[in-house]
Amino acid sequence: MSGRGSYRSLTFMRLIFQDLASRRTRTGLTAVAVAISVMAIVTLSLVTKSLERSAAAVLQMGNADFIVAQKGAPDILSSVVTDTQVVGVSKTAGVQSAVGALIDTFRLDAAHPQFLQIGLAPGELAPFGVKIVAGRAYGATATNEIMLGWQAAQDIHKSVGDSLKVGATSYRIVGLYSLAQVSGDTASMFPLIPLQASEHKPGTVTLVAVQVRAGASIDQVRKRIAEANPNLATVRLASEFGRVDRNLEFLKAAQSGATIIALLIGIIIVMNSMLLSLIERMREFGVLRALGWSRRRLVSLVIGEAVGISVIGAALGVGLAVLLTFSLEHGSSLQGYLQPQYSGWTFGMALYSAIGIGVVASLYPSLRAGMLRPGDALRKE
Amino acid sequence: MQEPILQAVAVRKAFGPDVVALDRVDLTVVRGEWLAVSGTSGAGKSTLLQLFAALDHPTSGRILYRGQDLASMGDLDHYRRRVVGVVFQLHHLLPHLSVRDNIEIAMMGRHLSRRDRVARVSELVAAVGLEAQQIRRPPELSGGERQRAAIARALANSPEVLLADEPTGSLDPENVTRLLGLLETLNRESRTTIVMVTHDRDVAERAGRLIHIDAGRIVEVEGAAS
Ligand SMILES: Nc1ncnc2c1ncn2[C@@H]1O[C@H](COP(=O)(O)OP(=O)(O)OP(=O)(O)O)[C@@H](O)[C@H]1O
Ligand SMILES: [Mg+2]
Repeated sequence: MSGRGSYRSLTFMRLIFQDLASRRTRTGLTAVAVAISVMAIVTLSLVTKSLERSAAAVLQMGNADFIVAQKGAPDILSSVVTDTQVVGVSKTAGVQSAVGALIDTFRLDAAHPQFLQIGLAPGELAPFGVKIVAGRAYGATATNEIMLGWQAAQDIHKSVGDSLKVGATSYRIVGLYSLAQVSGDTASMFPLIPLQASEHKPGTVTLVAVQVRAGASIDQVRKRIAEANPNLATVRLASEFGRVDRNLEFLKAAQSGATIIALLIGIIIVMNSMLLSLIERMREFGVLRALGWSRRRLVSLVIGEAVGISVIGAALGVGLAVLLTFSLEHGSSLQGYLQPQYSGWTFGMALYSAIGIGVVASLYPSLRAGMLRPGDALRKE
Repeated sequence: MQEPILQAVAVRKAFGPDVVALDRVDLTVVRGEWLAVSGTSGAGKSTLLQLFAALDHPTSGRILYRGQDLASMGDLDHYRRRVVGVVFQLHHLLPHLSVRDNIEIAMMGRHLSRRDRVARVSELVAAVGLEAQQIRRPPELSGGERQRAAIARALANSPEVLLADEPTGSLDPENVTRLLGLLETLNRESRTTIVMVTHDRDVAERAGRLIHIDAGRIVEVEGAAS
C-alpha cells in the first residue's frame, strides 16, 4: 500500500462532490434542467441587449441633449415627425438647435441586411455633430450623392469617388464622415430632401436631435415641447427608449417574464431533486448528526450540494446559450440583425442565477434535514 | 474512586402507547469501567445505548453525564462528537464513501489540520486491521470488515465512552480476539469507558461488570463497578 501522507483528506468540497457523484443520473438530469433554465435566461438577455443596443444606437446619434420622436411608435424607425413640427421644436424657448433626421435602413448585402441610412440637410451636418474626414459634403438636392461613415467605408472597402448601389440606384460616394459614435460611423448619409423623395416620406423625418441653449433647463425645454406636441415624446436616457419604441418595451417585458419563469422552473426542479434525496438519505443524515455534526453543517452540506448541481448546470447552460445564440445569429432570419456581445456580465449572470436557484431551492430541504431528530432518522430504512 | 460518568435515573422509554422498551431503569456507569449488557432480543439494549448516545430522549426519567442532565445540555453536538463514540448494531456506514472517508467524516467538526486527520485515520485503520481495505467502500467489504470500520469511526475522536452495540456480532474468533485486545488497551491505557452490548458469554467475561436486561428492566448484575 501507499505510504503515509499519500491519502487525501476529506474536505467539505470533496464530500459534496462524492455525494453528487454517487447519484450521477439524478445530478446530471437536474443539472441539465438548470442548464436549460440558465440557457433561456442568458439567450434572452443576449438577444434583448442586442436589440436594445441597435435601438439605442439610433437614438444616441446626433450630438443632442435629447431626442424628439413620435410617441408610442412601434419601433424607432417607424416614428414620424413632420417638418412643421421640427420647425415648431426649433422655435421653442431654450432650444439652441433642432435637427430633423430621416433614418431608415436598406439591404446592402447578406452581411448587412439593415444598413443604416441617415438623411440630413447639408446645412445641419455640423449641429448634428458630423465631421467630414475625406472628400466633401453632398449637395442639398443632389440625387445621386452620398457620404459613408469612415468605419463603414473601411468595412466594405469603399472610399471617396467609388460608387455604391442601393437597390436599383447607383450613388457616388463624395465624402467620408465621422460622428464619433460606432453606429453612426458604420452608417451612410444621404441629403435629406432626395432621401425623403426616394423613401416616399416627403416632409417628414424620424427624429429631431435637440440641443439646449447654455443656461436653459433641459427638463423645462422637454416639458414645453411635450406640451406643445401631444403626439411627440422626448427621450434622454436609455431607460426612456420605450416611449418611442414600443416593440423594445414588449421585448423587455417578455424577457423579464420568461426569466422569472425560467428561474422558478429551475428552482422547482432542484428543490424536487433535493427533497427526493433528503427522503432517501434520512439515515445518512441521522448518522452524521449522531457523529456530532451540527445542524448548521448539515444544512450547509445540503445547500452546498444544490449549489454544486446548479453550478454544473450554469456551465452547461452558458455553453448551450452560446450555441443557441450563435445559431440564431448565423442560421436564422435574424442573421445580420442580431449582434450579441458576450461579456463577463453574461457569464456572471449565469453563475448568479445558478447559485440563486441552488440556494433558494435548497432552503426548505436543507432546513428539513437540519430539523431531523437523529434517533428517528436512524430508524428510517 | 468511583466517579460516575453516565447515569440513567428512573428511565422509561415508550414507543407509542403499547411498546415500553425500557422501564424504571437505574444504572450508573463508572468512569473507566467496562460494562457488558446482555439480554434477549427486544429487551431494550439498543434503546438504552441510544439514550446514552443522546440520539433520543427518555419518555421520563433522566440521563446524566457527569451529573448533568442531557436534557438541559445546550450543545449535544459536542457531547455526541467528543464524549461518546457509537458503534451501531447495523454499523450505519455511508455506502458511497471509502472506509477512510467514513472514519474521517466523524472528525469534520473539529479544528484539526488535514495532516493530523489523515494520520489519525491511518492509525485507526491499522488498529482495526483494515489497511488492505481502507480505500474500499462498505458494499465491497465483508460483514466483519464493516463492523471493524464502524469501530474505527466510533474511536475517531477518542471518546470518553465507547457505546458499542454487538461489535463482535459478525467477527471470526481471530478478529474477536484482536478487537478485545484493542478495547482492553483503550480501557486500561486511556481509561476509555466501555458500554458494550453482547450475546457472547466469552466476550462478556472480559468486561468488569455484566448486566442483564429483560423486557426493559435490569434484572441481574454480575460483578461490581471497578
Ligand atoms: N422506533 C420504535 N418504534 C416502536 N418500537 C420500537 C422502536 N424501537 C424499538 N422498539 C421496540 O422496543 C423494544 C426494544 O428494542 P431494542 O432495539 O432496544 O431491543 P434490543 O434489546 O436491542 O434487541 P436486539 O437484541 O434484537 O437488538 C423492542 O420491542 C422493539 O420492538
Ligand atoms: Mg439491538
